[in-house]
Amino acid sequence: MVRSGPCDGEGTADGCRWIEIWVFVDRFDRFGVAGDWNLAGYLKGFWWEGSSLRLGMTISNGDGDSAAKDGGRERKRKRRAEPSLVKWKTEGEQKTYSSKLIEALRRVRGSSAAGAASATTDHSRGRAVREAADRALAAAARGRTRWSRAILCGRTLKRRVLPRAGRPKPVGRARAAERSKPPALKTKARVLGRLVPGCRKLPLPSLLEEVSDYIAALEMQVRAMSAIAEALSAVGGAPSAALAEGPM
Amino acid sequence: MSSRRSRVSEEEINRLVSKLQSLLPETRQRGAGRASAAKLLKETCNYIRSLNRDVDDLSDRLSAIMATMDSSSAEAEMVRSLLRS
Repeated sequence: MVRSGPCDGEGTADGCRWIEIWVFVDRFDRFGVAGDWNLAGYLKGFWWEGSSLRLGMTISNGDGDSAAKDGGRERKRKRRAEPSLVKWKTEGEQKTYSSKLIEALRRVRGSSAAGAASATTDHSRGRAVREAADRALAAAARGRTRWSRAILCGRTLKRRVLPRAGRPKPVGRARAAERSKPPALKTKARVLGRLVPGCRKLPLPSLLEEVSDYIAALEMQVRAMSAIAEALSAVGGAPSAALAEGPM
Repeated sequence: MSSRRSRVSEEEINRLVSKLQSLLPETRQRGAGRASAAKLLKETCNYIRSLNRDVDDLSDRLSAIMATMDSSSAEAEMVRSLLRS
């Protein structure tokens, strides 16, 4: 039975409202933990008509919140995907990423050498490397964050997937909540949302979560790529360019 | 449908934004006191931009290195880097 529960995410995207759908599980249920709210997924493309909820489409991401304090039965419970920032700092993660990146670089190198080498400019080669690095980074995130999913979908998920459902009638309360933010913060938050892939219309709490993970991931990316560049240029005999200043 | 939508109050926003402070290198080093939320958001934007710039520069650098390396030593070195790590 679905009731609208503690919804801490809502926003608009392409004319659709979206909210997090929480399911209150009254009794033992495959969705989640009995007697508690569980995150069932994200509902997009809905709108209100009078008092009834109309659905345009659903994008589910059914992570159940395992907030069970009691032992309960041991079963497969998906944890709420709260990205842990620590993993981006571990050496293991960086090594895994470096290997994946080197594999990708070999492929890039192979394709550009075999193909029309004259057609590829320095800029396009650099872009190819950047894209490969980003895709490897997004893959390392294992789909737990919005920005990583957006990168893997070619950053056009919102445009492609979400249809322009009917103009939603914003609930009065939602409007008031939006206004509670001072406009200065809102514009800056919007700029921030545009900087992170796939987070354009995210509400602030979720946005900040994505931002922290994105920053940690980018820092790791810089560390890994610097190390690779150093290793390659030391041997290749290529003139080592000025060290790209890493944030760490 | 009773909706218990949590309205994001200002204190909540400020609390969330101040959490960002620990991510930003400058404020980390200086150990600055609480900066305003707007300033923190701005710093975050700048930091992300600078990180992106770093990655772009590194990408260019890597592509240049790969271009100048001949294939045999490139492959060898890549394998070596993999084995090293």
